[in-house]
Amino acid sequence: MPPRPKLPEDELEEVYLKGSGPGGQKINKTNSAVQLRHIPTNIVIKCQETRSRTQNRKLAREILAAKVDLFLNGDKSRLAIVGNVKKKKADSKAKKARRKYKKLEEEKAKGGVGQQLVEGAEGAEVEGEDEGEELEGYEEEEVQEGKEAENGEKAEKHGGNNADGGRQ
Amino acid sequence: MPRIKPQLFWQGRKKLGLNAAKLLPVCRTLESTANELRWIKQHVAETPSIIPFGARVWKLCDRRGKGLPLAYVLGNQPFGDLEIKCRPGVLIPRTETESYTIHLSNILRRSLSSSKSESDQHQHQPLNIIDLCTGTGCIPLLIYSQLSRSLPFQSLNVVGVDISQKAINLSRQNLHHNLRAHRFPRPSSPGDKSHPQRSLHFHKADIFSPTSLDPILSTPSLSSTSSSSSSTGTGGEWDLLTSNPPYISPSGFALSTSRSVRNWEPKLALVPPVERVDLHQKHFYDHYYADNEILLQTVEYQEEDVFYARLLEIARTYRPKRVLMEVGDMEQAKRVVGMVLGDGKLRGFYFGSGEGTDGKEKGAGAGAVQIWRDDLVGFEGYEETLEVGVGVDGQKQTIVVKGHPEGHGRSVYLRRVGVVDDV
Repeated sequence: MPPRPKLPEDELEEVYLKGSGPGGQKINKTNSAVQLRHIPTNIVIKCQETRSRTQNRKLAREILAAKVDLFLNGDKSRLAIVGNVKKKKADSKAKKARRKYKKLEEEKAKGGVGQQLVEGAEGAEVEGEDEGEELEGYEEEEVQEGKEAENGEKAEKHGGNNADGGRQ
Repeated sequence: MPRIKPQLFWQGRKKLGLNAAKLLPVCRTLESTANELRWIKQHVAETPSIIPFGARVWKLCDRRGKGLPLAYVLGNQPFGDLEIKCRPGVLIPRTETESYTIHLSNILRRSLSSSKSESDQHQHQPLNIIDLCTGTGCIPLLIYSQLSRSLPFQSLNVVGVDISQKAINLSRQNLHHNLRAHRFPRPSSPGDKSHPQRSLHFHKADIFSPTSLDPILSTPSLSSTSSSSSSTGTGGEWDLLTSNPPYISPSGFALSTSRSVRNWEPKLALVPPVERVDLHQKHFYDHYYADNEILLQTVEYQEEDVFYARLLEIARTYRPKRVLMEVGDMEQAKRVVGMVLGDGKLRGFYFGSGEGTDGKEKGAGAGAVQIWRDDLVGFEGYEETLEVGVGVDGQKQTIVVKGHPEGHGRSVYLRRVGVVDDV
């Protein structure tokens, strides 16, 4: 996966937010909002996520960098690629689930009333295992995303190949 | 205050739940209600308790709805990268203060890291910093945090002084609270002789009483007994004096402060007490300007400025290399600048002889008298000049005003002649 985008500080301009009233000791409604403008693209964002202005300034830079990246690179931006990967995962998960329930339905239709109880119990077990595996997979993805973008990319390719092989 | 439309209450209830109706009368808008509700919920989620989540959120919203400032409701306020504990009886740290404190530590960092190449002795020489009227201790704590991180080998000696025992207790708690969270390195213990000597202390003292303040001021460095400082002869100087003193006049307190400040924050930290003003005004006229009587007519001086008179008196005696004082607005900033330029001695220390009337013609070693506006961080590039018409001869003087032109005047910065800022 591509690294997190970063913007050079000289392309950024903080927009001055005039607080209401005289400020200082006279008011205690602390205005922690930060508004940031990317000069070349003229994209403006406002961030008041936390009570700390220092924190908001950092967050605003991250958010703006992601937005500018999406605007300039489109499908090749990190946001789009990460989104694609996530969508793929969700799709494949949904597909697996569909397949499983289809199979269960078929077996249910084939089997008699006596066998149904046992089958149902087995089904429940399988389901539990499946979920566990997927959760693990999700955690792994998070770690890779944070630390080693390249490794993550490899793993993705690997996974993709496997899936293709399975289909054939 | 205009009335809040009932429609807003309905919208708030629908979007944000029942708690919103409690917050809306103090927050006024849906946007800030949503923000404050989110922060309250975050706070409750982060602090474990046996009381159910919903009940705690409801209780905090109820207290906030009665007008108690959010920092008192949650018990803390972010300040730079620190978390400062807040309690009724001690002033809540403001973002304006945060902004100039960060800017100031950047100036100190740059001027020290540029001079570091000259000699290693600078690092052994502790940087002596004192904050008067410290309150929660936010300014010394943030400067300590910023400098100990950006200058890892620099010795530091940081002192905070306040008259209120509540404030001193809270500032010490804040030191330990932020140490526990590993937000800055631990000050070195007295017997420890390892290289960067760092100390951070808070003392209770009345800054108007020389008997209690002088012992603190006259021994800048607690570890300055070492031979290095006495041999160079430059040891025992204050590198920085900061202060955010009470600066609101009694009439301004009634008219221009917001309700939650008036009702909940300590008046001691906001309005200079009257008996003190009377006492000091007499003292001020008797001693401070005894040597040049003309000034009594030329220097504008109002009762809310009494702390500045005292701070400048301290600056006159101890000659700190840099001084930063928070002020209420541009008018007050100009009055304080007037007090500096009007006094021959202070003017000599911080403005120079003034042979070049244009600020730019002066050399790098010239002193500086500047006014800083709100929100310097992020707006460092803005600068303009201002003419102040005071002086012994009534001449106009040009000083620099920094910060975004729309910002309120927030602080007065003095730099002694011969001290260089590397910006």
